[in-house]
Amino acid sequence: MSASTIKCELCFRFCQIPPGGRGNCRVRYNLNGELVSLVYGKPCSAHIDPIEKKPLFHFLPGSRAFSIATAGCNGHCLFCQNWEISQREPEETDNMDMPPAAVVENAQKSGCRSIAYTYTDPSIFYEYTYDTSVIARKKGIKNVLVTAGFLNERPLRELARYADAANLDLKGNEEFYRKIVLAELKPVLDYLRIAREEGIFLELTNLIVPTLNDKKEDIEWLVKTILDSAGPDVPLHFSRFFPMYKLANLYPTPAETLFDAAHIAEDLGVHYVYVGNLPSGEFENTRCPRCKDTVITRRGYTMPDVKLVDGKCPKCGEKIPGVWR
Amino acid sequence: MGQVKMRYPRLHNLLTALAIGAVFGVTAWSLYSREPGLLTVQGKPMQEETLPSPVERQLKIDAGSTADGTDTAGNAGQKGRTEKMIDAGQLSRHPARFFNKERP
Repeated sequence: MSASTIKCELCFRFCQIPPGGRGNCRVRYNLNGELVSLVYGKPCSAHIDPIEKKPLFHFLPGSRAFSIATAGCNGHCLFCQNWEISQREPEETDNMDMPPAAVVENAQKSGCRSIAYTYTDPSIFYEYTYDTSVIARKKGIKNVLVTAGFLNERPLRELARYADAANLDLKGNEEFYRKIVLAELKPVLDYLRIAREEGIFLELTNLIVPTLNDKKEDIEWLVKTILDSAGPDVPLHFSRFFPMYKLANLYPTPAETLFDAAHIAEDLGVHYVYVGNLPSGEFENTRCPRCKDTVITRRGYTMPDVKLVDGKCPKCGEKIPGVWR
Repeated sequence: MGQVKMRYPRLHNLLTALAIGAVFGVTAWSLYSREPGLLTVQGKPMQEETLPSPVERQLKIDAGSTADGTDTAGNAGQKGRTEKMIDAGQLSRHPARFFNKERP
């Protein structure tokens, strides 16, 4: 490593970046021997989304999240649904000028109760996420990370002080991560453990891709891994794949595959199982794990009907995990 | 056109069908090729991109993607451009955290 080469320690890739080069994420750049972020305050996407779209079903239901992303990513999923920004350099996207204070101001003006750092991955625009989160916390706006979980322990523990919730992708087993995500599984499991230790409210998402991670054994492995590392109370979302990016040759996930996965997860003991990216009836609703009564009714992204009383089932009093107000 | 209709009714039908098809096709393509979820905040388009063709996109992505952590090959075409964009304020040069400059 020459004197001006920099080793980035933000994620598991530990990129060694020569002058004029950048990390695997495409946005951390060695500018004359100094590591800089090319996307700080320069989001390429900013939308007002229902929180259910993240998806977060146990976090301020019915609220809106001011959602931002910059170009780049440190994952390279062959099925990426946002590849047109995640697999691009920031020179290739149309970026806005929105410093952290402006993000918080926009969130407030638009009546959003949270800011979601999403679409690509907040890990790669870490400094922007961190500074925005600090201001948002002061203004009473919550911070939500929608992430693949490729962030090292030290930066994650620092960010966790200001992160209120996260939706973490658990995409598949080691082989799936190696071949389809072009990354590793271990950092994701580490993220899950650390986020729980730090008290970030967590929900998990698994995108079921036909022929690649849709077998019964795949789902059973996933569910057992979740139960071992997070217990039965972490909400789990099975999400429908649509042909995209480098997997445009595959077909959309059949509905029965998603429902079969949801039944497997329930049978193995996960308390809150949801099916997303298609109308899924009962699997959109939250049921009390004790008395099986429906405590939150959802229909797409319309305003959910929340029957909880102080976060508890109105029928049997069971506490439902979540951030309810 | 009236003469065409009277003298060549089948040609007239064909031309009419082509015209309708062209209008429908252009409309459908313009809707299809829009970026999803465009929103406007403070009157400014949130995300408008002039996308290159799929082939160009694929080439760019393949050139820029490396598995070993460095990305110098993919950046070869960017030399100088990045700095210009930083100077123009289109990209930031905000100090990043979590790195090591020491020799191993």
